[in-house]
Amino acid sequence: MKRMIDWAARLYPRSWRDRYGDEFEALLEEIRPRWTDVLDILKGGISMRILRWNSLRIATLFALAGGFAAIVVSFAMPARLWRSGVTFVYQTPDTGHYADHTATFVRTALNKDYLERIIRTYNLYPEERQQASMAGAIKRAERATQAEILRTGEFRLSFAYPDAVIAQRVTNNMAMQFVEANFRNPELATGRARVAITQPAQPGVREKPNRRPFALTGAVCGIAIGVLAAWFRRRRHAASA
Amino acid sequence: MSDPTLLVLASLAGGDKHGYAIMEDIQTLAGVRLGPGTLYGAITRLEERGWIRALQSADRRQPYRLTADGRRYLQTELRNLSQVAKIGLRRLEDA
Repeated sequence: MKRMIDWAARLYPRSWRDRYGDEFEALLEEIRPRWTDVLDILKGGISMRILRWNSLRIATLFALAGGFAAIVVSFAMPARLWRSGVTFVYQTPDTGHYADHTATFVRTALNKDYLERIIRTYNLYPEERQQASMAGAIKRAERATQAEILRTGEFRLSFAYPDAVIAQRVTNNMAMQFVEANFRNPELATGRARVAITQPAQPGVREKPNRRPFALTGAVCGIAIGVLAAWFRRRRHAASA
Repeated sequence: MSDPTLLVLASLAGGDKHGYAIMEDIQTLAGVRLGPGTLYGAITRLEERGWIRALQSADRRQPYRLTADGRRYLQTELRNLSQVAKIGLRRLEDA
C-alpha cells in the first residue's frame, strides 16, 4: 500500500510538492495508511492539478477528451451502409439547363408514391415504420438515394442500405423506374432526353461512417463543457475567497 | 460540521499544530478522520487565503498557526452554525 500511496502522491503538481512535499511525506510516515487514503490522495492530487490550470488549459483538455470520446462512440455505431450504384448515359436535352432537367427527372421518377411502393416491396426500414410513420421511412429512403451528374455527361444513381443484397436490388429497381419514367413522361421522353443503362448495378461498396463530424461535435461539446467548468471554478473560487 | 477547512481552523484555534497533530485533534473533537489528501487540500486553501500561516521549524513536520483573519472567519462561521443549531434544536423541542 505504501507504494500505491507514494505513486498517488506523485500526482500532485511540482510547485505544490516543492512547498508541501516534505511535510506531506512526514504525515504519510506517521499515519497508519488505509485503502481509502490512496483514493483520498489520488483525489487531492487531481483536484490540486486542476485548481492550478488556467481556463484555456481546462477548455483544451475537455475538447480533446470530448473529441476522443466521440471517436470512440463512432466506432461503436452500427451505421455501416452498403452502397450500390448504376451509371446511365443521359443525353443532354436541346433546351433548358442540364442540371435542372435531370433534377426534375429524378423528382418525377423517384416520387413519394414510388418510394413508398419500393419500401413496402423490399420491407425497408421495418423499425422506423413500426415506431413512426411511413413518411419517416420515405425521408430516409430519399436521404439514402444519391443522384449525381458526372463531368462525362453520365448520370449516376446509388442507394445505401445496411444489407448489400437489398441495396443492389433497390438500385436495379430504381434504374428500371428511370427507364420507364423516361418513356412515360412525354416532356422528358420526346427524343430530347434518353436514358440507357450502360453498366449493371455494382455489387456494392461498404461505406465507413464519417468520423470527422463526430470528433468535431465531441470537441465542440468538450470546449463548451470546459468553458463552463472553468467559469464555475472561477466563480466558486471568488465566492470562497 | 464536516467542512475540512472549518475543522482545521477549529483545531488550530486550540494552539499551533502540524499535520498529524491536526488530524488526531479533529478525530478527537469531531469524530471525523480526514484523509491526508483532504487535510492538505484544506491546509493549502487556508494558507493561500491567509487564514493560517506556517511557523519556522527545524523538523520536516511543519506547524501551523491561526492568523487574525482566520480567527475572525472561524468566529463568524461558528456563530452562524451555532445560530442554526439553536433554532433547529428549538424547533425540534416545539414539534
